[in-house]
Amino acid sequence: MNGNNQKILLVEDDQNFGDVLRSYLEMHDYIVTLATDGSIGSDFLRKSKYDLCIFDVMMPKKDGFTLAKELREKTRTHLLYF
Amino acid sequence: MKNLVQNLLSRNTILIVALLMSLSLLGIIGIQVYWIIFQVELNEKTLDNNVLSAMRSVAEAVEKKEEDCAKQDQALITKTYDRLVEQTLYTASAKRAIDEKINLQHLDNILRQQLLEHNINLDYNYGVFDQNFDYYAIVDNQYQVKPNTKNLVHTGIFKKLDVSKYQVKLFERHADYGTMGELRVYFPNKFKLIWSNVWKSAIASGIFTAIILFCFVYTLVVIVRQKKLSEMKNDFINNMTHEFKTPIATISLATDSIKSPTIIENKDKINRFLNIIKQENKRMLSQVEKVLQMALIEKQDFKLNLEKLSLHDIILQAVEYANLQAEQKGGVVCVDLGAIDDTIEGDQTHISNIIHNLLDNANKYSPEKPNITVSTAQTYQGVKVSIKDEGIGMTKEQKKHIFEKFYRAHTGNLHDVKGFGLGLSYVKTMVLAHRGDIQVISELGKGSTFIITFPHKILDKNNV
Ligand SMILES: Nc1ncnc2c1ncn2[C@@H]1O[C@H](COP(=O)(O)OP(=O)(O)OP(=O)(O)O)[C@@H](O)[C@H]1O
Ligand SMILES: [Mg+2]
Repeated sequence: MNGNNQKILLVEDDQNFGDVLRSYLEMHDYIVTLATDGSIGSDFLRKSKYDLCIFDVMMPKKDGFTLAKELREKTRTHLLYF
Repeated sequence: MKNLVQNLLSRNTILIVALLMSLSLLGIIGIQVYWIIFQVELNEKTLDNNVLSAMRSVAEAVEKKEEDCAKQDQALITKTYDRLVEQTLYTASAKRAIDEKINLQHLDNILRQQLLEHNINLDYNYGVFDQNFDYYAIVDNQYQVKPNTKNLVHTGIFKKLDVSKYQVKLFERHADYGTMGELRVYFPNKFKLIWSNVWKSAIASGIFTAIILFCFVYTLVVIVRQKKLSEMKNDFINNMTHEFKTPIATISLATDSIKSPTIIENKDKINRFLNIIKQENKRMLSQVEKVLQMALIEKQDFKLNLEKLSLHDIILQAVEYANLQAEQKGGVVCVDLGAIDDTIEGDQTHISNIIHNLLDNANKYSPEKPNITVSTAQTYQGVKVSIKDEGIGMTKEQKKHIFEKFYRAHTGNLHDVKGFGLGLSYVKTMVLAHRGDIQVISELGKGSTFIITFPHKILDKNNV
């Protein structure tokens, strides 16, 4: 698995899991942006483009599904729920 | 999705069963009422027929007697047959007032006899109404005084006789002379007779129906409550598994990362991952604790491991942990331990869990900087512990339910505060098991205070 510096937006409210996942992805040469809740995530989405978005479904302020809907209205990024 | 369908299905089934049951119950009640009414009506009809037939016989007998008497008189006066004389005498006798035509004793005897003959064994009143003078000439074996005025308003027995449906004409053949009368009978205990063979079965079926109804409602309530509880438990399990997945995934990812060659050289990074693994481990431990707590409340007959404890020590330990959490949100936990004697008898694990749970709530339900105060004081009953926060507080309605299993006041679609609604029900169960007492003071938006009191000694050790 190799990322070739593709950009990933990771939205996850659990600090530890977010941390570990980011390091793991970075290890594989992805460029990862971590947002700790849904509304920060949607701010990031507005500002720049990502090759892949990973959302946690259960999050404070804005949940993953809402975020995904927002995103789908704008672009054609790959979506991944978990 | 399948689960949902199943739920819907069984909810509908319950509804249909309940509906069918209600309908058949209504049907049974209806049929019973119908039969009772039918029986009563039948009784009344039989009685009516018997009474009227008895009275007709009485009337016949009375008329016959009068006729015989008149003929005797006639025979005495005229020995020869003379149509004119006969006619005159007949008219004279027919013109007599009704009380003159009736022999009191004869009427009384014949009425009693006839009623008995018709199987009517009931107290009765009777009267002979004089239609000419509009008064009761005879009532219950006594002649009555003729009133001076007509159209008197009848009361008492007269009124009863007036409206009685047992009325038979007397001397109808004297109608031309205006000396007709009416025999009226009234039964004060008629009601009793009509119901005599019905009331027992009516009451019995009433009682049985009531019992069935009660059992039905009771069963329904239990089913609905049980269903709700099982749904809640399902929710809990779903929630729990989700909560378990996160630490498991984190630990698995962290170990994978450590194994990778780029990181194994980097001591700092390894340490960070190890730290995370440790934290997640603790998290899982506390989750397991939650499940155990839930099992405990469920079981109810837990054993407490009683020993002498210093409540202040336990509080200080718990506060230390809570302070770490509060500091993350920029808050603080203050302590004011004023109790002089802080020894209590209790189970170390549970007492410590109680304080942990309350502090955890105070912290969780303070959205801004948590400002928590823990204080103790001496009271007559023992040691009082107050845990006060300045968080979101609760409404009166919420306050009523917070000690219920699985109840969560602050839910919504946004999972900003995680929990299972088990903490307080565990706390309450345990406080009560320690013969203590728990109270809440709370105002929405202002904050909450939980006050627990522990006795120094547990006196009755039954069920502990
Ligand atoms: N200090 C508090 N301030 C405001 N609301 C509170 C407080 N403590 C409890 N509550 C309310 O009471 C509910 C029940 O609390 P409880 O501790 O039983 O469950 P929980 O905290 O939601 O979950 P957990 O089982 O993880 O403790 C909470 O959901 C919350 O709405
Ligand atoms: Mg709680």
